[in-house]
Amino acid sequence: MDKELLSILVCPLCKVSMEQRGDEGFFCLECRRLYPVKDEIPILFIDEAIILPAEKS
Amino acid sequence: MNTVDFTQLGIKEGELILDAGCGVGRHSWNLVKGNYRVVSIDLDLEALIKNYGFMKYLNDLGETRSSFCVIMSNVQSLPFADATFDRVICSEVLEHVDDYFEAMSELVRVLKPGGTIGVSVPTWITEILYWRLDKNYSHPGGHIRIFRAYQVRDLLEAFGLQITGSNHRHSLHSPYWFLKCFCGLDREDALLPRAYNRFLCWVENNSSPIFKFIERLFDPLFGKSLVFYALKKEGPAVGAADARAALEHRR
Repeated sequence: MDKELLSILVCPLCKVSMEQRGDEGFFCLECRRLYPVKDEIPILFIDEAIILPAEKS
Repeated sequence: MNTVDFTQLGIKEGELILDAGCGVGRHSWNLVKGNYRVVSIDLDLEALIKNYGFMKYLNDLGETRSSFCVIMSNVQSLPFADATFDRVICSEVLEHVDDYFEAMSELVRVLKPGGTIGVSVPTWITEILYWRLDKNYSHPGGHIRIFRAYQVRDLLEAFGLQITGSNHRHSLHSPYWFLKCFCGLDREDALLPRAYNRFLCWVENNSSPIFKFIERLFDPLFGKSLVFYALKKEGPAVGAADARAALEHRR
């Protein structure tokens, strides 16, 4: 999968850029959704994302 | 076998192109053979895996000049910023989606001003016939609505797009679906559709000029698909609710 092309992806809900976390998937810092990757393919469905708890400060 | 014509869409080398609702490929496979940047999206993971697999196979053969990626995504909530793409292809998608206003709103949002979109839907005449012949032709996830040509034109205009052209395609494919529906969609072993499908494959593989000419001749009468080409003008974005209200007001 072309890395440069994947860099155009934004969160389908918030429409902001996401952090690419290797095999884990794509993480939105705004809504804290982690979108998984299956068979190299990013799954950018709002309902299939995992909402990660906020990090303790 | 493209439904949306790349020349008519005005695609140029190096451009970023979205194939929305790519299915197992078709437009994506032909795009990656040129020098573009191709993003293919679909709801169906199995179709995406096949599409990506074939594009990688073409790449291994040295037959691609494009960079490409495939994304599982819903056309009603696209994972791209505003004005990202130079060209958008949306072929045979609007008849499937829950809310085609939301889908169009998203497709127009991610298209750059000055960019073009090619939208195709099944023709009214063929759909009416198929829906009547086989009750299984229409089902959730499959075709859930039938568009008339003026409805697609009005829809694109409601989103502030300027229509640059339209045509009918694939009239040779219309008899295939007629035979499929006549014999029963679930009957994979039916002789007539299988024989006709072999004929279609032969026409496609041999690029038969006679049958291509016959197809073009019959396209306006009995085309399987209706294609519109449109340009996104500069100006404020039109949301799904605004477009819906504009069309209701027009009626």
